[in-house]
Amino acid sequence: MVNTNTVQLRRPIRIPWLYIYSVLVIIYLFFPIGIIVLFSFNSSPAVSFPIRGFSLRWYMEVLESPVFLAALKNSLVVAVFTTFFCLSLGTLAALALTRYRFRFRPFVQSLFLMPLSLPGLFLGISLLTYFISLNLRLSLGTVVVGHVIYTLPYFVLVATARLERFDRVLEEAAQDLGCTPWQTFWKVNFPIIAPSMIGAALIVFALSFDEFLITFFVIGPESTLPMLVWSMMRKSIDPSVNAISVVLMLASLLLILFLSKVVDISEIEF
Amino acid sequence: MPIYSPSKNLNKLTRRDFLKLSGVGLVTIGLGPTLASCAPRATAVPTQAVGGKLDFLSWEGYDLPTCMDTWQKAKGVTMSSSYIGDHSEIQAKLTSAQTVGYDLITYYQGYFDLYRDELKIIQPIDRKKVTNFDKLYELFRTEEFWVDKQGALWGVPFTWGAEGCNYNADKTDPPQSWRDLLKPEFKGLLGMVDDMNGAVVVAGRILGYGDQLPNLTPDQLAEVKALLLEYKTQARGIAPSFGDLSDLLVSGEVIVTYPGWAAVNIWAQERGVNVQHTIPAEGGFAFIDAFAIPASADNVETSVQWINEAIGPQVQACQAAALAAGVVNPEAVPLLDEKTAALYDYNKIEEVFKNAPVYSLPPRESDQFATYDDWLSMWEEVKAA
Amino acid sequence: MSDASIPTLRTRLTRRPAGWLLFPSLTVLILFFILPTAIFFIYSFLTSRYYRVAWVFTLENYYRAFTTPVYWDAIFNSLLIGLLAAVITTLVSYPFAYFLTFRITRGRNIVLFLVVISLLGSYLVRVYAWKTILGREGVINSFLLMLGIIKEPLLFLLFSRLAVILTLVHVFLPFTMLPILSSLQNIPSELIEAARDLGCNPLQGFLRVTLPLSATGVLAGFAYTFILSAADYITPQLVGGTSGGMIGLSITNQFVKVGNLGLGSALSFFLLFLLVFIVYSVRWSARRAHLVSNA
Repeated sequence: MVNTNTVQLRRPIRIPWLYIYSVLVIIYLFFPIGIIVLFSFNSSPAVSFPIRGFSLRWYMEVLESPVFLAALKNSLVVAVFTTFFCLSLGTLAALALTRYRFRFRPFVQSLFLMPLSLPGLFLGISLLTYFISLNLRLSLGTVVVGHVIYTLPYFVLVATARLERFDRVLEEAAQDLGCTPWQTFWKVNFPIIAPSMIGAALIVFALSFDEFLITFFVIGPESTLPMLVWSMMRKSIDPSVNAISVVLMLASLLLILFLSKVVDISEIEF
Repeated sequence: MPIYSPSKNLNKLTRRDFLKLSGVGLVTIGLGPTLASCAPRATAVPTQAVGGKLDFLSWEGYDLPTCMDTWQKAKGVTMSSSYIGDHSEIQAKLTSAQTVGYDLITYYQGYFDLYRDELKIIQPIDRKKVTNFDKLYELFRTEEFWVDKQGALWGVPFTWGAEGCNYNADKTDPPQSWRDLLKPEFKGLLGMVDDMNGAVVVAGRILGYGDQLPNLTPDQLAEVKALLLEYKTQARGIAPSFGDLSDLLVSGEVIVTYPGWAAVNIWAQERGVNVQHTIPAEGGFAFIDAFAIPASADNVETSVQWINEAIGPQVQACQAAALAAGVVNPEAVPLLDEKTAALYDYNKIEEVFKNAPVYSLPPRESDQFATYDDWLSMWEEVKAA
Repeated sequence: MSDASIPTLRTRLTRRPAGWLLFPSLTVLILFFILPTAIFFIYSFLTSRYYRVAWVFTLENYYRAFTTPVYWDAIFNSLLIGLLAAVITTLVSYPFAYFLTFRITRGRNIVLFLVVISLLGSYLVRVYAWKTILGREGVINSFLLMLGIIKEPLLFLLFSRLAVILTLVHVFLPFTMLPILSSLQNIPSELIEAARDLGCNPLQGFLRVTLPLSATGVLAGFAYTFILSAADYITPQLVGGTSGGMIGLSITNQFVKVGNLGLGSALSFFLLFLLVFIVYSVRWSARRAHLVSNA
C-alpha cells in the first residue's frame, strides 16, 4: 500500500532505511487497531489470548443497544455542529488574518492560537464554572461550545497557513477583472483552499467525536460515545467496546468512500 | 501540483452549500448564549401524571435498562441516561443544580448527610407513594442513611454488595487474613483498586479501628497510610475501577485483590476465570446504593413511581443478576438464579452486614478527626509514592 | 510573513471587512474563552466550600498548591511524562512525515485517511488495546514465550512509565505528524534544489533548508503533545500502574471529589504557568540555535 507508486519527486537520493522505518511506524500505528478488530470478533468475553472462536455477538449487542445508539447520535450531533461552526468561523477569521492588515493583528492572531496551549481539562473546568455562574443549562449545546473553542485554533492554524501560501497574483487578476472581494473569495480562493479545508474539517470532526475531558465537565443529562465507553469500562470491561470502535472506524471509512464519490480525494490535504 | 487544479465537482457541490451553511452559522453564533438552550429539554409533564422523559445520572447499568423496560413502555416513560465514572461526579454535576435537570440519581449511603444537609441537592420522597418500601428487609428501612430524624424518606435503597477480597481460586487458597496478602508469594500478584474509601476502611479494620470508622484521628490515618504503602509495594498496579480489577484477574496480572467486590467474581467467571470472593478475618465493608430525586427534578411523580417499581420483586431479581448485586426485597430471593443467589447468604443477611458493615464517609470538616480531604490527600500520596 | 509582497492588492481592499470577518469568531472567543478563563482565574483567589465559592479573597489556595509535597511530585511526574512523550513523538513523527512528503505521492493520502479513520475509533479503546498488547499474558509476552526467547513474561511492559509513554506516543503521533507534514509541504521544492545547486550535500541541505523551514510545524506538534500529555491522567491511570501520580488527576479530584474549586483553580494555573514557560523556553532556544527559520 505504501511502497507502490513511489515516485521520487523532489530529492533523487534513495535512503532505503526511511522506507523500512516508515513501515515500522505504520505497523506501530495500526497494530493496536488490528488487535481491536481481532478481539471484536472473539467469541469469548476475555480480552486476552488465545482467541477462542469467531462470533458476531459483540456487534449484535452493540447494534441492538438503545444506549449505544443514543450516545452515537449525540456524538454525531456534537461533531457535526462543531465542525460546521469551526469551519465557518475559522475560514472567516483566517481570511481576515491573512488578507487584511489591521491594528492588533499579531495580538488577534495569538489570541486565536491561545486555546491550543491549554489542556482540555483546563478548558472544560473553566467553561463549567462559567456556565454555572451564568446559570446556563448544561446540554449538548454547551458541549459544542467547548469543542469549538478546542478545535478552532487548529482549524485557523491550517487555514491561515494555506491562505498565506496562496498565490495572490490570482486574486489580483480577479480584482482586475472586476470581481468584488466577495466574488474573489468564492471564485478564486475557495476552490483552491477547499481541499485543505476539507482535510482540516475531517480532523476537527475526529477531534470532536473522540473528545472526552471537556465533554466530561460540560455535558448535561446526555451521554456521548466516549463518555459511554468510559463508564462501560469503569464497571466491567465489556468486550463490546471493541465492536463499538470497529463500527465507528467502518462508518468513517464509508463516509470517506462516499466523500471520494463527490470530491477527488487525492486533492484533500491535511 | 494538484492544489492548482481544483476539481469541478467540488466547486459545484460545496460552494452553494457552504455559503448557505455559513449564513446559518452566523445567525446562530449571533445568538451566542442561547445556543445551549437549543438542546432538548425534559418534556414538561403535569405534576401528577406519570410519563415523559426521566433524566438519569449514575453508574452505567443503575438505570436498569432491561429490568425496567416493560414498565417504562407501559407507562410511556423514556430514560435519558448519563453515566458517571466516579460517585462524586453526581454532586459535582448537581451543585450546578439549577442548570441541569436531572430527575433521578443514586447515592452511596455515606453521602446522605452531605447531599441532604450540606449541598441540599436531593428532595424528600413521598413515602406513601413508595408502597413497596415497607416490603424491604428491615435493615434497609431503618438505616440512618435514608430516613431523617423527622421520619422523612430521602433515598430508597435498591442494590448492595459486600467488599472483601477477590482471589483466583485456581491459583491460590482463600486468604484467611488481610495480612496474608503481604506474604512474599503474592509479591507483584496483588491488585489494588482506586477506591480511596474502601482502601482506608479495610486498613482501618485491619488495624483494629473498626468501631470508630469513619472517624479516624490524624495519627490513626498516618498508621493507615503506612499500612497501605506496605500493600502498595506488593501490588502489581492500582486499577482505576473494579472493572479494571476484574480485567487484571482475568488477564492473569494478579491473583488476589485489596479490596475486592463480590460482583467482580461474576464478571471474571463470565470470561472463564475462576475468581471467588472472601471476607478475611478482620472483616470487610458493604455498600448500599439508593435512588434519590434531585431537588431540581422536573418530573418528580414519574421518578417516584419508577423507584417504587424498581424495588418490586421482579425488577429486584433482575437487577441483582444484571449488576451482580444483592436484593433489598425478600420477595425477590426465590426469583434469583443460582449464581446470583449464591453471592450472599440471604438466610442470614444480618450476619453478612455484621461481617461487612456499612460506614458513613469521613467528616468534611473536623478539628478532631481526619477529614475527607485528609483521606484523599493521603490516598494521593500513597498512589504517588 | 509575506506581507510586503503585494502592496497593490491590499491598498485596493478596504479595511472594513477585516472587522466584519473577525466579528463572529472573536465574539465566540471572548464569550467562551477569555471570560471563562478570567473567571476561573479569579476563583483561584476565592475561598470555597462544598463545590461553591464565596467571594472572600484569599491566597490560601496558592499557598497550599506551592507547599504540598504531593502536588510537586505529581507536577514533576506530569512534566516528565509530557516531555518524554513530546520529544519521542516528535522524533518518531518527523522522519515519517518527511517520508510521506518527499517519498510517496499517491500512497500518502491513503495512509493519512487510514490515520484519520483510526482516530475515530475511540482513544479510550485504543489505550485498552495497549493493555492487551503489553500485559502479562498479552500479545508481546505470549509471542516471545512461544518463540522461547523469554522464559518468564516481561512485567515491565505494562504498568510502567514505558507503557504510559508507548501509549501516549501512539495516541498523539497523528496530531504531531500533521503540522510537521503541513510545514514540510509548504517548503518550495526550488529551495531544496537551489541548496543542492549551491553545493550542499543532502545532509547540509536538510540541516540548512528543510529543517529550519519545517521547524514551525515541529514546534507546534511538540507543544501540542507536551501540553496534552502532561495534563492527561486517563492513560497513566489505565496503563501506568503505580508509576506515579499525575497533576491532572489532583486537579480533577479537587473539582469533582473535594469540591474545593479555589485550590483546583490555583493548581490549574500553577500547571498552566509551567507548561507555557516550558513551551516558550523550547521555542526560544530553538530560535537562539537558529533552528527556526524567520523567513
